[in-house]
Amino acid sequence: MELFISQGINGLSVSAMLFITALGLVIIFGLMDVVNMAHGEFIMIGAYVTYFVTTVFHGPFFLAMLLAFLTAALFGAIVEVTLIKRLYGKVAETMLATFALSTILQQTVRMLFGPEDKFVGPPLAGHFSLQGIVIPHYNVFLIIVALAILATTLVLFFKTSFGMQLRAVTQNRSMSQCLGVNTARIDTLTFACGSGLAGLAGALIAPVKSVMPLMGSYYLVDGLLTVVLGGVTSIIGTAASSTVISESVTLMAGYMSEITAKVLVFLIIIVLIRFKPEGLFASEKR
Amino acid sequence: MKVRNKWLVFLVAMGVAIALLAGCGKPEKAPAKAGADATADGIKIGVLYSTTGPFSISEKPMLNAAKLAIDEINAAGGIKGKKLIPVYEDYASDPAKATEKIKKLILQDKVVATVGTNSSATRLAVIPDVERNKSLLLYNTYYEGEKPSPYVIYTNSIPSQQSADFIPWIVKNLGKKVFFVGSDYVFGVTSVKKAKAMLEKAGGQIVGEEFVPLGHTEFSSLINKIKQAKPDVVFSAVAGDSVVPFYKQYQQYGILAKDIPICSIATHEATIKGIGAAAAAGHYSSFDYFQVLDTPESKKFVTAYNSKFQDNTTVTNLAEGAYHGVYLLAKALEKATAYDGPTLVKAFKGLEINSPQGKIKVDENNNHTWLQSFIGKVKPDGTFEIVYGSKQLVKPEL
Repeated sequence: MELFISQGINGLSVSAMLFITALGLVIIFGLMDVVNMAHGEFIMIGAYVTYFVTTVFHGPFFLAMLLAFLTAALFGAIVEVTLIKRLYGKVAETMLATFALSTILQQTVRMLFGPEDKFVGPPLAGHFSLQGIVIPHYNVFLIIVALAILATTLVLFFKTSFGMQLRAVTQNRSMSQCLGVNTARIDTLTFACGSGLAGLAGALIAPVKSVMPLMGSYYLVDGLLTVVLGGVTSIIGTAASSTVISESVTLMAGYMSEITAKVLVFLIIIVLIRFKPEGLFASEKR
Repeated sequence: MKVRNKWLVFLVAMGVAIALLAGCGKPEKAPAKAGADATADGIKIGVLYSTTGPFSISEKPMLNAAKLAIDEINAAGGIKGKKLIPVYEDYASDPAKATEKIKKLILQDKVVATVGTNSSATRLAVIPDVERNKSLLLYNTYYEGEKPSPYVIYTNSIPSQQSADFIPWIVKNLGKKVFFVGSDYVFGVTSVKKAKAMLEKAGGQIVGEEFVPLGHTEFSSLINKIKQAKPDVVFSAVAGDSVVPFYKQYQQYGILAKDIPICSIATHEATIKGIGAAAAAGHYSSFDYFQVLDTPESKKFVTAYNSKFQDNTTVTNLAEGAYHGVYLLAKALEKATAYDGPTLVKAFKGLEINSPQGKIKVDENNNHTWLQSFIGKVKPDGTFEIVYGSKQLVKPEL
């Protein structure tokens, strides 16, 4: 029982991490129909910014979070204007282009900063201990941040005029254009926002994961899985599906090997998608 | 307009790709060409490592160390008056490309031997061509010790060598109850299998065994299982990009190194940098070489490496393996009467040199190398302290 509770609580922080790393992908994929294969590399950019802010310049972690978001967002905006903008509506081309971008970014970072791991220390080192169940402070922080990001994104999309325009563009691009919405600007901002969230994710995972050129590739597959299960247009769906995936893997991994648990969950997802191809929590799309 | 845009993107992408490729290629190719022009009667050897792609994390330092050894040998007069002429090839972390490169090295450049490859996938991909052409490969990475080829000289350790001294030492000094963890691929699984057998021989007790996928970064479940099993020690063959998150999360979940230390056969100086001193301190690793070894050869090697290459790489046992691999090759070339593969392989048998780790010797029969064995404990400043060194060389038992 102790193991079960402990794994359940672990699952929450794993969910939070998966949600944070997948959200940028959802925004770009769901709203713009672009499968961003370089999503992981935006996570990496955020992690390297965190390395420079905290380890090299001994700055505070919150500053690293902010700068990671801004750097990745700026980078995303540049990529959107120079590359993605020219490929809208061509799924295969955008996938290839962003895949190439991912390779180029990895190798550039490798050449600039070396192939080896960079160190990012824990901003919160301690842990709560309750009857043998250990909960690191940082995991609690991650869960709170994930909830805050979820709330902020929802407010941004459903309560601001940018969000309204964005949803309008997603639903009917030419009609929005006719009504005077600057769709090009909305596209750039959306892509920047998704990239920025990836950068923020990089900052948040840097203290507990490895920081190296290849790191981003490990989050792309799980991210895509979350997006597909949650329904590609739904932010709430992403939160729910990351919780479902992470909790089931973590709870099962308590009693069997990590590999078996992951394979079983993947199998279940394949079956689910067979019967609900639009995802578990898909919102209606016209 | 649309068509033009497409071309523009294509041109930009090509431009960037070419610029990047040119950037990587330049420093590798220049010295090889210069060497070939300078001396017509040198001895050509291939050097096959990736400086691009994911494998470069291990192979960049190995390439550096091989370069260093070649330069030192040439500066000291070469081999019987002939200079070593290195032909550098980068296979971009792609085993399929490595087979093309090895063919080019053997057939077009006519190298007498090739130093290189690092992952087992790459080694196994190039071996058929090495065997078919009766050439020779020097493989300088610790590996699982299976399917050895008669045309390969293995100069780094195999699982039995890494655990031969480590396991009895653990049982004697740290405790009998051992929890085994490993990455789920050939190196991790074979190493754990060998170590378990040795633990039983040494009178220890296996209290758990878990494997995680290669590249796994989420260790909370594994750490929970370790806590439940209450071992004295965790024996780890977790390798690659999983090592850093494993140690970081181990500390995050409040297991102290003084209570349950991790004893690893894959955590070296470069990984420790990524883990950070605080989370790495108190844990143990076992290798045939550590940077801190107090031999004149080691000090000379580390100083020369660090002054020659300022490229954010770290001297590890892998770099030392490539370095002593090239020196072994030089000694074999000196001894051999002809430079064809079979004659060269014979020249390696029983060959002895002084390397940074100390004296090492190629086995008379199995093409593997008798090596030193050291156990290092990570100090609070993140460097290793040698807590054990073998009295004699450890036999490569396949």
